[in-house]
Amino acid sequence: MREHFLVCPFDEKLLSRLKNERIAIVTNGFEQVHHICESFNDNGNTLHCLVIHYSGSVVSIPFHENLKNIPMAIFANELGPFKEIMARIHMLRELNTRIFLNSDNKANYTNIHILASLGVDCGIFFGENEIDWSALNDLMTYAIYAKVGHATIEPFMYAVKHYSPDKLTDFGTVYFENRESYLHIDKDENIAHTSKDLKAGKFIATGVEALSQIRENKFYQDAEYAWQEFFLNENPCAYCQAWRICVGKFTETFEKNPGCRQFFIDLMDAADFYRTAESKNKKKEIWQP
Amino acid sequence: MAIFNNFHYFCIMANILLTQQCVRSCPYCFAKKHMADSEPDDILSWDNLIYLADLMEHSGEMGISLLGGEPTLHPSFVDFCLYLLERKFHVNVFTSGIMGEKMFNEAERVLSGIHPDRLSFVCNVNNPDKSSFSELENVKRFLKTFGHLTTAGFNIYKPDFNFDFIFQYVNEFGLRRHLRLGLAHPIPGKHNSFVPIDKMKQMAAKLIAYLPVLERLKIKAGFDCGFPLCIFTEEQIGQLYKHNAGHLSFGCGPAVDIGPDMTVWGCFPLSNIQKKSVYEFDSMQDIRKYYMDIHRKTRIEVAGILEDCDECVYRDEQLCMGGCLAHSYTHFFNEANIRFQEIYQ
Repeated sequence: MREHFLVCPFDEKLLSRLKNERIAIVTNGFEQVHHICESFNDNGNTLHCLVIHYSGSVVSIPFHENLKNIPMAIFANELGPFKEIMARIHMLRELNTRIFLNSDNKANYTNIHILASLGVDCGIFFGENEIDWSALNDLMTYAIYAKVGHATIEPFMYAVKHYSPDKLTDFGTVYFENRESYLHIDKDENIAHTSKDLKAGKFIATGVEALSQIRENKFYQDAEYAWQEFFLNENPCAYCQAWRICVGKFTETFEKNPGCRQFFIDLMDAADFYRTAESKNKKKEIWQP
Repeated sequence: MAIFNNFHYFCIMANILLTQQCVRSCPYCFAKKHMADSEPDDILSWDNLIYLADLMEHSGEMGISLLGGEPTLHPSFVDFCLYLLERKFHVNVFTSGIMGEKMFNEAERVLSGIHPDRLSFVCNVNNPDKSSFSELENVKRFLKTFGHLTTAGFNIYKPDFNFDFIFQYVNEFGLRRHLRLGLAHPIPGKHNSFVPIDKMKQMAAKLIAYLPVLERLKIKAGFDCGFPLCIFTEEQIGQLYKHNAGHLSFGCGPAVDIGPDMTVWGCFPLSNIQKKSVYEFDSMQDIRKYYMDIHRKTRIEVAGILEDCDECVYRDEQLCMGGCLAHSYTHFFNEANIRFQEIYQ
């Protein structure tokens, strides 16, 4: 089995052509959830996660016991009335689900805070509007430094867990957007590094046969060092000490809203704090049979 | 800090103010000064509520009192209660019982079925003679729905008082058979109604006169903080001892009130002195220790409400704390700044 996860829409024909793959299926509703799960019985494919881009509020999702064991990443724009969330909170805690809320809705910074404090794993995803870096920093501070136990908040937990001072940390993995971990493929079997590239027609290969040799693919190899372009241009991010943890994700908005710099510096501090705390709490581990 | 029986529980809980606004203007209100100095629109945010819930859980304190102003004026009052209950806190709400139609309906629908072990109310009731018709109707509506969760609270602010009407409330609305008796205290440097020191014995006698009827109705009366021991005769103390099954205390200590702007102070009458930010402390124990220390230093300067407190063996043995510290603070106004500096901060 190759190390990449595949990200693709639900297409039975495409699924039948894939073998022994770990797949994240992108969909926009809950009607087909069980049908999608059932279609994973053949070919040795395994469902990595259902990526659900939901246009309604979280409270309008028909959560049910039978969703319990299905890995889901739900991307929604709003949470909905608190009392209705409370009516579903026990179910939400039990599901194998992470709920991502849109940063475009200011109330979501608080909604995520509430959800995490009630034990629901969640995260923020970045919309099209300006990010409130101060509110994001407060949320990150809670996610990493809070003294009382709570559920994880992404992408902060991923970033601090995987942070290493001597290499890049790409929290895009949380959103299924990291060329090291994910490849995106559409129903026509076009393969791209990211969903954005796939939409824009920037393919690295076409045909599921190409997957097994993807590391030898020229476009794939070229992309490996694409990040170095940053440092050859007059880009303000090239001088930012926190680049290694944001990897230039906000370079287009930096001029207008430069709050990202302080945020990611603080995130690096949080990562150091987390690593120190982890090493202090590390238990002795002997060899395993 | 003081009191008898389960009232002790209320007093060790931290008090969180959801809002600075109130629907009444009680003559004895010892929060008056604090309210007047605060931004009326200032309400507790969700983020701050979560911070405080975390602070308390981290401190091992799983009881929270919500108050105001009138806490039910906070637009998220019901949601806050639900949130805290979900986090396994015991929630106690200090309310006047007066709330708008919409809030009442919401509270009735969501909160009235919660078990009394998890949610309780202290409804501070005023004498009906001094209340407007609409206020009374509102209070009765509240008690009718939430009586089973509610302890009546009555604030004594004059030596001659009357709380007969509470017995009717207890029986008519099925209130819990406790009565929380508060003693109005002076706000240092301000004017409010409270029982003057020289009238406290008269007030105590009136209180003791209520014991037979309280016992007949099986209602336990408990004192809030600031009642001094020596306002009762030996015989009266014996009666109180029996009434409260031996649980007697005449204390005064930091109650720990936290405002919507995350300032903290060591009880309402002292809210214009020694305010700090919650963020300066790591735990509730740290907050209490800080204000305990200031209380102790203030007691060194002025032992209690009477000159005799200085030599009192019962105060020395901490059987009595010497009455409310707010009385002591009134000594510090209009004098040179010559005492422990901490008490002026």
